[in-house]
Amino acid sequence: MAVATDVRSWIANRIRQDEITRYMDGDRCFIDDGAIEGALERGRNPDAGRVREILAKSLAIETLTLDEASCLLHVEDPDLQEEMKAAAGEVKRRVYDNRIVTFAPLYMANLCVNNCVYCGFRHENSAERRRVLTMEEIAEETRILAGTIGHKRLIVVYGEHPASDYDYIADSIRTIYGVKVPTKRGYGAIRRVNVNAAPMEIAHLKVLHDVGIGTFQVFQETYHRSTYERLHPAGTIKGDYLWRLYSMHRALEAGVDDVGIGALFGLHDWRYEVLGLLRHAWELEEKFGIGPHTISFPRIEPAANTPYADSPEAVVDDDSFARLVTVLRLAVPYTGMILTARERGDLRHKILPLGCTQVDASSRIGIGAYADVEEKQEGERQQFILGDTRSLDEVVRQLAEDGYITSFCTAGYRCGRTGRKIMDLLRSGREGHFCKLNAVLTFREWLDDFAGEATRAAGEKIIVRELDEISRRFPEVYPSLLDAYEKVAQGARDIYF
Amino acid sequence: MPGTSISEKARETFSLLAENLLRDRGVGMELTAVVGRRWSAVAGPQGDLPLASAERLPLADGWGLVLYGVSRLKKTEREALLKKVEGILSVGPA
Repeated sequence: MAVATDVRSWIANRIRQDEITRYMDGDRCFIDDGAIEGALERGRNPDAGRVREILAKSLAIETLTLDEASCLLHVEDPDLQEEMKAAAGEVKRRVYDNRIVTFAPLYMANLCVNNCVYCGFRHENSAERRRVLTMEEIAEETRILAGTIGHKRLIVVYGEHPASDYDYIADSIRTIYGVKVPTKRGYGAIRRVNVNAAPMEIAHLKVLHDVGIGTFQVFQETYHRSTYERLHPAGTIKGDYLWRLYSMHRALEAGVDDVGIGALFGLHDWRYEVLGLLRHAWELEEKFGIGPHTISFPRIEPAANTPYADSPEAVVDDDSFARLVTVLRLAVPYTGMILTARERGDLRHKILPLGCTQVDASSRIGIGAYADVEEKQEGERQQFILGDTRSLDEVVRQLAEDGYITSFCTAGYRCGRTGRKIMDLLRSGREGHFCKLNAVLTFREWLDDFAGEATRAAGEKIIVRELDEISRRFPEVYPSLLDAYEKVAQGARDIYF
Repeated sequence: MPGTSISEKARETFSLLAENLLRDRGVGMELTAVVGRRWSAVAGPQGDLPLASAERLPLADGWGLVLYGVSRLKKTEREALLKKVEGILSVGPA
C-alpha cells in the first residue's frame, strides 16, 4: 500500500528531536541494556531468605530496585512462588482493597502509517478494512457504552495517521464527554476518557490535556532496543525507539499527570520487559516525582493476515504470565494494573487476585463495533482477537461472587488527587479509603441503572457488606456516606468523596 | 506543574497554611491547577487528607481549591481562609 505525498510530509514532521534529547543524559537513555542484563544475571538462584526480605519491602509499599525484582523473577521453587502470589494479593488489598475498576476500549480509527510486524493495523496489511469514525458515529458508540452497558470510563484508541491526529482526538473526546443518556433511575455518561495513542509533541499533548483526558497511555511494546528496531521498520515514525520511550516525559511536562506505561509481552524475554517497565517507573519517579498511574502487560494475540502474531518469538505461557503479573505487583505497589480482555475469561479469573486493579468488559475492538447488531469478532477491522467477550453484567456478577466490589469511581482527577499526591495517598492507604466510599456510591448507581436480576442480587450482598465495614472502620464519615447513598438511590448521579 | 505556575515561596506559604489548617481544624486543603475537567494537585499538606466530602472551589486564573471537611469551618473562617489563599496566589508566577 503506497503512502500518499501529503501523508509522507506529515510523517516527516512528526518527531521533534529536541523533545527527546532534553530528557537524556548526554546520548544515554534511561534504558541501559547492560544494567538490565546485569540485574537479570545477578538475580539467578535467589536465596529464600533474601526473597522474603524483598516481599517485606513490597508489603511496606516501597518500589523495588532492579536487582530485587530480578530475584523475584528467578524464583523457581513452587512454595516460594505461592508466597509471592499471596504477598502480591496482599499488596493489592493494602493499596486498593477489594475494588476492581472497569472500563471499555473504544477504537476510533485503524488507519496507520506504521508497519509493525505484529500488528493488524500495520499499513501494509491489505486485509484490514480501514475506517475513521465520524463524530456522530462516536456519539452513537458512546450512547451504547454509557447508556446501555453502563460504562463510566473509556480507553480510546487511535492508529497513528493524519486522519486521527491530535485535533481529531481532541474533538472525539469532547464528543464523548458531551453524551448524556437517560437511564432507569438517572443518566449515563462517560466521566473519564483515557487515551491510548501514538507519541506526540508537547504542544499537542497540551491540547489533549485541555479537553480533559484522564490517563495518557503509550506502550513501549518492547524495551529491548535491537528487538524494537527489528520489529518496527526504520523510516517509520514508530521505528524511532527514543521518540516513543520519552512519550511519558513529554506528557508529564504538558501537565498530564496521570500516565500509563506498558509492554507487549511476546516480543522479547518477559523478564527483561518486567525490568524495563520497572526502570521506566523509576525514571518517572526520579525525574518528575510521579510514577506511572497504570501499568499494562498485554500479551500478543493473533491478528488478521499477521503471521508474526500467530507465532511470536518470545511466547509467554500462562504460568510465566502469572509470574510476571505477580512480580510487577510486588515491584511497583502503588500503581494500577490493567488486565485486559485479550486474555481468556478463565485465565483472567486466576490472574486477577495477583494484584490487578482494572479490567475491561463488554469489549469490542472493531471500529464502530458497539453499534453493530452482529456480535461476532471480525479480524479484518480489529487490531487483534479478544480472548474474553463477556458482558459487563457477567463480569460484575463474577467479581461480586468472588467478593470484589466493582468501582465506577472517576473522582480522583476531578478533585486534585492526581500525580504525586495520589501516589502518596495510595502508598499510605488513604486513597483506598476515599475509593471505598466512592465505589459504594458508583456501584449503587450501576446496579440501579444497568444490572440484570442475578447480578443485582449478587451486588446487593456486596453493598451490604461494604456499608457495614465502612460503619465500623470509618464511623466519622459514615453519616455523610449514608446521606450521599440515599441521594444516589433516589436518582442523583456523580456524587463523590 | 507547567501552565498555571506559582513561585516556590508561594507554594511553601500555601503548604504551611494547609498544614496548620489540617492540624488545628482537621480540614484538608489542596491547591490545584484547573484545566478542563482535570484538577491537578499543586500544593497542600504533607501526608493524608481527612476522609470527608471533597468540595471544589474554582478560583481566578485557572486555580482551584479542594477542601475536605470544610463544614467544620464557620462561614467567617471560610471567608478569611479564602482571602489568605487569594493573597498567596496574587504574588504571581515563579
